[in-house]
Amino acid sequence: MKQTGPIVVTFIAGAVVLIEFFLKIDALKFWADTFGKWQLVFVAFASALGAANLIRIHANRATQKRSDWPYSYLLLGALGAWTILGVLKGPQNTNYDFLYQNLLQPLSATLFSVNSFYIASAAYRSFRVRTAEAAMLLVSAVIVMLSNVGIGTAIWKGFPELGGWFMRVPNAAGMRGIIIGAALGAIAISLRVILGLERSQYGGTE
Amino acid sequence: MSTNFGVWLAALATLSMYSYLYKDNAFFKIGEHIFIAIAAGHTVVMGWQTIKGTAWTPLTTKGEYLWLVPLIGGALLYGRFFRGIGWVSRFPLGFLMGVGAAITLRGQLQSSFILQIRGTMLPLNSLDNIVMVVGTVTTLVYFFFAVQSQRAGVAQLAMIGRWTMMIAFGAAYGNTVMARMSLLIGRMQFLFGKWIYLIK
Amino acid sequence: MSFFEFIGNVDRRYIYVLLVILIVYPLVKPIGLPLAMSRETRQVFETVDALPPNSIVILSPDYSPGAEAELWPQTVAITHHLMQKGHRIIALSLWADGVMYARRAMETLGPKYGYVNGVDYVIMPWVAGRDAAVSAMGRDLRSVYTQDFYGTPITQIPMYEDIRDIRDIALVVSYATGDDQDYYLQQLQAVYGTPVTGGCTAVSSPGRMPYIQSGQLSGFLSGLRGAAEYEVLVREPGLAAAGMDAQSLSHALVIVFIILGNLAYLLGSKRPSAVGGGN
Repeated sequence: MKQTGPIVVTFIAGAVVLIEFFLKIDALKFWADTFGKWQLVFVAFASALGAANLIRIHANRATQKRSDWPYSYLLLGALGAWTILGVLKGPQNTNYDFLYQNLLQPLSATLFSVNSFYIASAAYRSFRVRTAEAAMLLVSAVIVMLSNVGIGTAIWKGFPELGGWFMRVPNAAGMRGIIIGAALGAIAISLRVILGLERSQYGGTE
Repeated sequence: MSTNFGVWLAALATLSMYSYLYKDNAFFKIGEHIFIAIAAGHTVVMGWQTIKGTAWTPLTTKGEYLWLVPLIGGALLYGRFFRGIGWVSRFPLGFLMGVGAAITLRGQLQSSFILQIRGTMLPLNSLDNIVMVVGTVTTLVYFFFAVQSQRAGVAQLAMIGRWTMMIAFGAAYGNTVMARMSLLIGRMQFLFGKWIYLIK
Repeated sequence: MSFFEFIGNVDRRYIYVLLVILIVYPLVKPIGLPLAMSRETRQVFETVDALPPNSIVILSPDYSPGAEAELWPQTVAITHHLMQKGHRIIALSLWADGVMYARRAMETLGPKYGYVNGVDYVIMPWVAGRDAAVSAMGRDLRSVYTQDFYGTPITQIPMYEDIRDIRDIALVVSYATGDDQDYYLQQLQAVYGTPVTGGCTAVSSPGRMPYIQSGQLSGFLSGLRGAAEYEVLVREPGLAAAGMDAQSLSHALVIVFIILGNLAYLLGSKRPSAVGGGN
């Protein structure tokens, strides 16, 4: 029951949604619509699992005084305060919006922008043209980089059109092959999940 | 220089992250831990809004008792954190996987498979069309046949596919550079525009 | 020590300072490099321009602050265009962070065009599920969002009187960092024929091209460049146009380093130590 129950649930949920979509069976429409709306609530619960795990890990780290343990108290305090503010006042609240705009946004945006420094410093040491294919990759990269910006247009008026052609034709062809291949893989995995052939997501023997 | 408290808070947050470029330090660790905390907190807050608006309100105001199923099921997901009852979380997980797989399957089939194949069915009457068709087919040959098949002809087709993908990856790298630099430009516009007033 | 060995041994922090200088200088003193117009950006403009008067459009900023520098200028530029043409907007997002951008777009630009909340635009709360949310929108739009971001029931929102289902939506404008635009293509465009356009980060733009070629996607803005182009088209220059000179110099720096690195390799110098070895 503990092992087969979830697999049965997966099959029923997936089959109802799929069959109703392809065969348009009126008797299933209500349940397909309902399952679709239930999914939104399930995902909302699942989205907070990350926070729950974070609390578990940092509570352990703080109480057992492992490395950087004072920061774990800071994290737990910030998480608690933010959540209480948001749940009690709502994200529409002015203070919530103020903290979001002036704390979360700059922290997140800056963390992602740090990559640009690494790209600049790694461009010298990591981009090696050892094969003809690597040379093709480099040529394509340089043409696209120059076609995207004004300095390329200033060097040669034809760069934007050339870069555009690279993107619209050979790049699109390569990407389409990847998209079709990935779609086939996704379809296969989805079928395996619904039919109960894929069970690794349930984990454990408990 | 700005005298706005919010701008100063944002500037300090920005500098705390950039301080890592010099070396790892306490200022960075404080900013990092606060970021992780409030990013997770924001997700919890928004998730709570979804649960309240989508399920709780119709349940309590309109008597739509079917919403009890996802409310109880969603709560069961947290059973994994308790010893002995972790197995209860598999049921809502099963539902999530089932519906998710069904939605993915039907979306991928039509949009990423059938319509993409239809888009490849082009008359071979121009260079662009020839490159598109040949590039797509040879890329697929590379993925599906290059490893297993030793037949003459397959390797050559797969090689054309590899070249096509090298062009695509080169375009991806070029655009990645643009994307990352844009993020840095955005932060510099804030620091030197809104905080220090160097940019008019 | 050869020139290439010298470059290879420079402390990487000097490279970082050089990059910052090359970016800040043109922001302070613009160079005025030319900006070409891409076909895909023009296609977005023409798609929005061709909408029937008083259309209802879904505006979906599906990104987090990590992509704000590229996608917020795009959001602003297209919102300007939609409001210039007087279209009604449902601002929602598939991301928890994106709702904050949806709100910011409506509340900062709405007053400029005399837009009124509930009449000309409505901001929807976040609904979890991403592709499941889009699928549910297609099946029954009114049941997915039963109240707006501020808690007002949709039955009390005047704009919602004209919205029965997804077929009343004339266009979806999605700004995405990854799969989210695909969800609109898969669940709405492919099933109900709802036109989809929008923008994406430059990283994602190579993957958009197959959908442009097949006609599924009605144009897209690519990163900061796309936003700058659109700002020119709608005559509302902003952050993106201001940042393009800096973009040029940063690209030039990366290209120079790639060429130098490969010259060092080809000329047979000792393999450069990691830039930053002087730490």
